[in-house]
Amino acid sequence: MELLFASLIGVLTASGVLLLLRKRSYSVLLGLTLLSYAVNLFIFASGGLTPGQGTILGQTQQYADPLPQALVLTAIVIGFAMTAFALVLAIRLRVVRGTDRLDDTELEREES
Amino acid sequence: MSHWVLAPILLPLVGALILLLPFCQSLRRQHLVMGVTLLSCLVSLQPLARQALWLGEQRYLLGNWPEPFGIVLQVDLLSCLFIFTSSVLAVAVWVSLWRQSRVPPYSFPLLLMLLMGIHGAFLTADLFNLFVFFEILLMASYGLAVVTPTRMRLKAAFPYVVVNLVGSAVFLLALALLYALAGSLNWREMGQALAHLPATQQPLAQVAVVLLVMVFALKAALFPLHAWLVPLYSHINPRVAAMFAVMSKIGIYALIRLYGEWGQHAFMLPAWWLLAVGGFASMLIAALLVVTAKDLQQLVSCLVLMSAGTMAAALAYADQALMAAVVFYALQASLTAALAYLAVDWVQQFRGRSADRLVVGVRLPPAAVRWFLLISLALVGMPPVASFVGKIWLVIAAMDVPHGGWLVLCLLLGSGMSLLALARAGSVLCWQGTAEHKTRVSSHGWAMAWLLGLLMYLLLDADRWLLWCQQAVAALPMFQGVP
Amino acid sequence: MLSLLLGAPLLSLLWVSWQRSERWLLPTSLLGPGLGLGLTLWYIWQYIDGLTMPRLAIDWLTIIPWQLQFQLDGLVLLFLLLIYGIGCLVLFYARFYLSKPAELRKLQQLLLGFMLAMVGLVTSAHLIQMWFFWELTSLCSFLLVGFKSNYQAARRGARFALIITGSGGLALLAGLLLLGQLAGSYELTEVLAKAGEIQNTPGYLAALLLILVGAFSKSAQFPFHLWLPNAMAAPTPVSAYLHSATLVKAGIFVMLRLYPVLAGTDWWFSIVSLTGLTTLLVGAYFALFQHDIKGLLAYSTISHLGLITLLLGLDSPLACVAAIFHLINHAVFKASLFMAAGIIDHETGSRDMRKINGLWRYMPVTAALAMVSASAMAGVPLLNGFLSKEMFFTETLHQGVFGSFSWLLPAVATLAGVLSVAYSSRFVHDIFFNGEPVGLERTPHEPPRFMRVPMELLVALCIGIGLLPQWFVGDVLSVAAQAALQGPLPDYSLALWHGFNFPLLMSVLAFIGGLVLYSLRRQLFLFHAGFEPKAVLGLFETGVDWLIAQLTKLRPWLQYQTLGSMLAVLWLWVLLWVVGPLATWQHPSILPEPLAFEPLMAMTMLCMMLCCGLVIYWHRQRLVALLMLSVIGLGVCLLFVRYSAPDLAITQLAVEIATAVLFLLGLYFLPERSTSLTSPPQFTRHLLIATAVGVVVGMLAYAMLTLEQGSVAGFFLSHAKTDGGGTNVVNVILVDFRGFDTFGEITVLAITALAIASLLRGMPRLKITKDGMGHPYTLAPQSLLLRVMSSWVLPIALVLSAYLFFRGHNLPGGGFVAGLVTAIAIVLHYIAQGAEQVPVTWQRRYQWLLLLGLALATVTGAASWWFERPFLTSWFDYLTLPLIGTFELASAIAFDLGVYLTVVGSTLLMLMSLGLITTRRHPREGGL
Repeated sequence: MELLFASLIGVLTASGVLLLLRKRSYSVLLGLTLLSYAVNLFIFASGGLTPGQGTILGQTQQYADPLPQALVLTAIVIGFAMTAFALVLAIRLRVVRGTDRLDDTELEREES
Repeated sequence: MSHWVLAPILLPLVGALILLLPFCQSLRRQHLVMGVTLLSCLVSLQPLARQALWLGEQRYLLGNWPEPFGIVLQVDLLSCLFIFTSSVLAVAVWVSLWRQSRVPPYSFPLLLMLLMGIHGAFLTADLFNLFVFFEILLMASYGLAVVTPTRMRLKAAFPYVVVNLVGSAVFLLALALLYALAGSLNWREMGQALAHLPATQQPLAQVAVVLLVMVFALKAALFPLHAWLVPLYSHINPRVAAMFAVMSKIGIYALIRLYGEWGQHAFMLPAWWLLAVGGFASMLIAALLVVTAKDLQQLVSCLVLMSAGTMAAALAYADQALMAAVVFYALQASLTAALAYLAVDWVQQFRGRSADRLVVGVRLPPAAVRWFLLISLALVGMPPVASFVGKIWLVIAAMDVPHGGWLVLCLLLGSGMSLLALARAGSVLCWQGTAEHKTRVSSHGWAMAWLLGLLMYLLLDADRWLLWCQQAVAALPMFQGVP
Repeated sequence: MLSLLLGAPLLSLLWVSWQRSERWLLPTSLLGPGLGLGLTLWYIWQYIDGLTMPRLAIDWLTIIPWQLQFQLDGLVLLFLLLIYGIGCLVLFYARFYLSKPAELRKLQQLLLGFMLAMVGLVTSAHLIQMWFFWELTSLCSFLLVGFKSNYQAARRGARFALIITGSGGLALLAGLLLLGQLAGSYELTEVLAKAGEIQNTPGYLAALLLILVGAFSKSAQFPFHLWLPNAMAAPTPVSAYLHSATLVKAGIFVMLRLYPVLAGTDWWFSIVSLTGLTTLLVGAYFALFQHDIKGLLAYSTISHLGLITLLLGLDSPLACVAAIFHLINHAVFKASLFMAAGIIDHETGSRDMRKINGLWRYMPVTAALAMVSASAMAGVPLLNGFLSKEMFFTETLHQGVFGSFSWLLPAVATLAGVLSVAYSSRFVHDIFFNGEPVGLERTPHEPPRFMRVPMELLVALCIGIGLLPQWFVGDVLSVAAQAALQGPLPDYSLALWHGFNFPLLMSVLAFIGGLVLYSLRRQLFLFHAGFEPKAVLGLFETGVDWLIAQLTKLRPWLQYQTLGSMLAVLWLWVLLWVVGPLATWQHPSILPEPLAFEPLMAMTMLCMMLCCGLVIYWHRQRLVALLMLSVIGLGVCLLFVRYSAPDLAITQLAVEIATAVLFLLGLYFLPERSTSLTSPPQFTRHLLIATAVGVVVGMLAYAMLTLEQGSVAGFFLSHAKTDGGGTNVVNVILVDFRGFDTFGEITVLAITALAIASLLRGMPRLKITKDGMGHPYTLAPQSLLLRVMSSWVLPIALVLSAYLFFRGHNLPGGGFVAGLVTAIAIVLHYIAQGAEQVPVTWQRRYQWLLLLGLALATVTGAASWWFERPFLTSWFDYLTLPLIGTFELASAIAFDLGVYLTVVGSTLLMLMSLGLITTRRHPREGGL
């Protein structure tokens, strides 16, 4: 299971990185979201995987490491905020420039 | 331990909250709140600095939880010096807005929030808390960068935002790995735990540290992660850029902390090399870029890049005197760059259509020429303001360490190129063009005088400040012989 | 006293800047230099009497370590005499040269500033301090040359001079640093004391070369000499002061100052003497062919500087004395010649010798004075130039280092003498005789009486030194030479007549040869015209422009612009540094027991991986991609549920919905379908990078999962209930153990909301009528079903969030999740009811919520100060009330409430700001 979990993180990261390298703002946003999934799972994994237990005292015999969970929670919320801002920025950029392209061919033309 | 330590974090927050109240609709009241907040920030620094000076490092246990478990704030001379710098810059930016008839909404609260994030990052001794404060200051900086969204600003801001989001992701990767290895999030605790890892796990520690340094290098704009800085800084509002002058120093601060806390351990070895490569390359690249600048703001931004590279390269020698010199250099470089950006703003407004582009247009009046000269001298690192002290300390300290000559060589090359660029720019702006005086420019005089006065003060009272820098660095665990 | 001597120019500088009256400009500007001159003379008198000289050391920057140190000795006093003496005369002269008070004031300020820098340079007793003043003199020279900034020549000349002398200065600094390093100190006295040790180290040659480059560039030695003729665009007083007497002597000064350390080796001899010799000849040759009076003087200055350098290079004590003597003489006659040139320029409006002829008739007094000075330059007996030239000739005869070629040196010296006589003759004959002026705009006449006074004084000195050298300069020369050599002086005699000897013969030869050469000038000019004239300045400017153009071409490589390249570089850089250490990592041999295989979870994960592929495949279709993304998000939720993180699962679910809403609102503005911009090779590269990063991160994750390390988790588990008052450990960490993180996190949310609101303010409200494929949007009203449903959903959701909130401390839930649920319910309600229902002013309400939340969290945290506990210290107790029973009251609840409010406020502010820009209320046909 560990191997599968690690591969999942790897695949999520790879997809995120690939989409981030594309040249349209929407792909970049998708990439960011995928990357943040991967990162959240990665933090989660730093406490080890504990199947079928919990972090509520008295409800289970064993407990999972609660600290990474707290960190992931914070990271999820911050990630949400950041994605929101990036999205709005992408929209604003599109409205101002009239295109969602991020490559520089257009930039060159504008400046010349 | 007194509660003063929270003042630099909470005061800006409270100020920002008050500014968002309907009570603060009028500009006059906004200025009042800003002034009170910023000045109280500066005043509250005094007891902090005094404690740090007399009693040494102070640790504040948030929530009263014992050290490796709860979050700890750490006050020492190093953090005090950096907090001083950022507060002073915020004051300058605020003062430069005094005569403005309107200030874009949300810019004051965002400025204070930025300050809060910066101060938090300077004070925290916990890695995840550092991440949170990084996010605070980044978010506020994103907001400030596009506070009056023009086309060019948005275009420069988007890569900045995305690259930094990716940086945050890398930060989290490093953090998780470090937690998995060390089982704690406390700087000091972590360093100890990592040093005692079995030899088989050392490579993982190296990877984690390299990733962490990568994030700080991104913040400090070190090669090859430097590309976001110049486009961003040369397109945003110069006043905002003046505040951002301290932003690239946050990366440097984090690096000083990181290396200061863990530098003596073996797992840091690749990280030192990473720093050296990044620092020197940034310096050289900035030296080459500075002469190609198309406008004044771009020129100053290249110099900001150069100073970041200089500091990183100097840090990489792992020498106590050099590190102390870096602290002072950071202090004066922030002030100097902010001063330059304020001047750029003035030039942009005065020259009207040709703005600060280095083309023949409206000639600057004699008073502005004098300012230009003074600021150019400061940027190149010449007397009569404190800027040269930072540079000369670096040079002299570098001569005493093995291979320090390379740093001196690069510094000289950078100075030469800056001189060339500034001479060309000055020749165009100050000596050529028509001398019309139609545009009335809102006065930046007070803000610039504030920064210049501080730089003069730093020069006259240099001994005290240099001593503080020296003490700040000497107190770092790396130089304390902590195993 | 010493500080007064040093600061005298500053005194004047401040006063000149301060006072507004035009009449007082001259006296105030002269006050400081006059005072300085007086003090210098007094010190010289004392020094000759053998009194010890004061030192000034200011304890400053002791940590670096660096002390500001100033000292006086014979050499310094001599230079001070030149600086202050000629400075006074030039300031006096400038008063008549410039008529506009504003310009005059500026010139005086700059000259005084330069004087200050120069005084600092010569009195410095510390190598680096010396360098600072050195650079300041370059800078002042830049400003002075560019004084007439309207003229392109002035601007270019100034830049050229700055670049040459400035970069020379950097070389000098490198050399001085190296020297200091070799000596183990930057203090002059200590460095001078260690001459022998330094010359034996391998670093000596590098230090010597670097220092010489600095000195040569400033003293206009070949091949750095070209800046000087171009600096003639400066006003003439500036040329008289900087470019004859002081600035250009700074290089000589440094060579003299460091003479004991650097000189005395073969390297010194060969480099310095050959450079000097070349400069001597080149300067003299080109001087002859200048048409500009100042050009002639500039090249002649170069030639004389070469002479002094050559003398220094000859490396005998006597030659050093001769060098110092010639330095004095040259300053005196050249300054007066420049003043003459200034007068001629001032009175005729031209400096072209082809136009200016026969001025003897118009200004006989000036002509007479200039002729005396020019004769001194040519080395005519009875004048000062003759004496030092005789000494020079003598020295050339007395060296034998070149072996059998040694005879060449006197020969070349004589040739240089011939040329110098020739160009001096040209100066005299062409300007003052040789027919009538050609095409001048006005009739020349004598200058104002007082403009001539400085010249008269200098000419008197020329004659005085020439006749009574011992009386005028004997003592100064001996003390200066003593200080320069740092040892006993050789025997020499300063006298007009040494009898019939070989040097006299050389002088006579030079004199006759010079006159002959001048009489043959027509042929010579024709010969010279055969060479292509090279506009050096233009070449230099083109060179710099070329360099900058090349760098600009390089710019995209140094400063990549696109996001894609920034990210690609970032990942590659990460890979580069991570792969190495990771490769050395060995998997621990004893692994913890692996988890049991669970088919359901394995299916989930495989599904998620598949969806990743699908997102990539369909990423250009925004809705499909979003759907796939949500599927992955749900998969993450499932993983959280299975691996003991119920809190995370709930939060992930809520955030997933919020993100989806956000994207749906935002997608309106992004094209629905788009074409690919990535070429196949590019895609391959991206794929490689992405795969590599994925592999590395996956490996790290696997390493982490199979790692067994202790952590702080045990503390949290054991203290959550007893000290934190809650059984949900994750929640207790969030609101208590690490409450400060949460505090920061809600601040991030709040800032994001504000930043988004600020960013969307004033954005044009666009109505988009067609989607990317050209299908028109329909404006159907919201469906009835949706409206009815949503009116039911809202209350239920609010109850749910209250439930989640209150159980949070002990069971999965908490402020975050509750806040998100509330916010999402409200937003869904608006979507169903139509955005028109939301007044714009409601933004303020959300802002209130956000403020309230943050304030509550802050106040709760700060409340612990009241109990003298650190920020965010929690408190809880169990209360028993009738009917309700025992319940827990904790400060953490208040903090969590703050979190709840902030989350609701921020999320709503974000979503509604975005929603409002898509409103149809104020539609405007957009151009998208």
